[in-house]
Amino acid sequence: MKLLFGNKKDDLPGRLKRQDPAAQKIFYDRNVKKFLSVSRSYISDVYQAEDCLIKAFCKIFTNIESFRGEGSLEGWARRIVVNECLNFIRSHKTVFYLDDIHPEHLKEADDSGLSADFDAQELLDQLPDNYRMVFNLYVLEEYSHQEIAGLLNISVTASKTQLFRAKEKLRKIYTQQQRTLSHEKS
Amino acid sequence: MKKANHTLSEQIRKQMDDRETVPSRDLWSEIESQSAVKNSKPSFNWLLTAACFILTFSLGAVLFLNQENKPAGEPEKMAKTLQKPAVQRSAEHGVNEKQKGLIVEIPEQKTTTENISAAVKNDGQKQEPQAFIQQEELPVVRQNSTQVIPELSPVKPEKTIAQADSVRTQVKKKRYVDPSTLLFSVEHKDAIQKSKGKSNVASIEISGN
Repeated sequence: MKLLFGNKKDDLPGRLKRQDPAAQKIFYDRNVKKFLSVSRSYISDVYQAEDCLIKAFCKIFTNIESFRGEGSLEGWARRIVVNECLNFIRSHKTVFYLDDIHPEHLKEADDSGLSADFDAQELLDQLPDNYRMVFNLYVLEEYSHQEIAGLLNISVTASKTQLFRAKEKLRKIYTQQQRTLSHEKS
Repeated sequence: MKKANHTLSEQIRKQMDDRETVPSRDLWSEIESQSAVKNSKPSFNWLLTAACFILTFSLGAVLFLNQENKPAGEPEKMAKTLQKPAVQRSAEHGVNEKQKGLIVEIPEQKTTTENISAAVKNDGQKQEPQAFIQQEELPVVRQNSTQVIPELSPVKPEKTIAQADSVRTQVKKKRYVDPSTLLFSVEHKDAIQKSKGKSNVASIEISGN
């Protein structure tokens, strides 16, 4: 039955373009948890992240006609969620970007040997907004520095600097968490 | 290269990719309500717009056609007013009785001639229906004008222009014409014409004749 339904020409994107409420509910049920996790990675407050997600879903259903079938529908919708989160941060907070470090000095530290016993969400929540946005776009969404610079309206150097500082900050936070855990165990 | 040097980043990415967050409240009802609000906006009614356009164009067409079908009363009036100065020009030449008839048909002079005829014939009741008399004689003017115009053609244009001006001034200035003066001018027309010469002023010695 799934194969039959999957081979139908009238699949989910087609039904969504016809504003089929049942198709919209199916799409929502499939992606709400994942998209909320994405939204939550940008916005530390859960309720604000959910508000952004509601707006993102409305935009997805409204602008479904602009989806041309290039790539997956989920990837296209995820970009809408990310943009909605970025707009929220820029509208509610003042974000500063510094590019005071020369690109030659942006050398990544060796993170090998780190244990996986940590909560990534907690680490991200402790990052400043400007660091978190660049880190998420580069690491989680796999945007290039050029794309990030265009999206955030900053220079490529600023994007690289923010990423470097974000990783340093995450390393520090991780180290502090590990020390706290070791003290608690002892 | 990238993956080897960013272990912490890789682990964070892996955790976030596998992570799913359950909503704290019912988001679908809120999404539905917001979508319903957007869909409830009145859509553009093409039929109503088309009907408005058709009505507007039809009204414009009706008004345009009405303007074209208006009766041409004004051109006839213009012809009458143009004929009157032609009549006035022909009156000053002082030719035959046909031109007299044209002189008689000038509205203000008409009344005086009618009064003279009434005085001569002891018939003063014709002063009142001046409008009717004028209206009756207007067709006669038209008939006579076709006959008079060839007779007027040898007259020089300078005199006609000057005479036309003098006639206009006389008409404007003299609202009430002295019947005796008018009668004298008719009886001694030749002498008056001779005394004028190039000017518009006539001088006649009454005692001479």
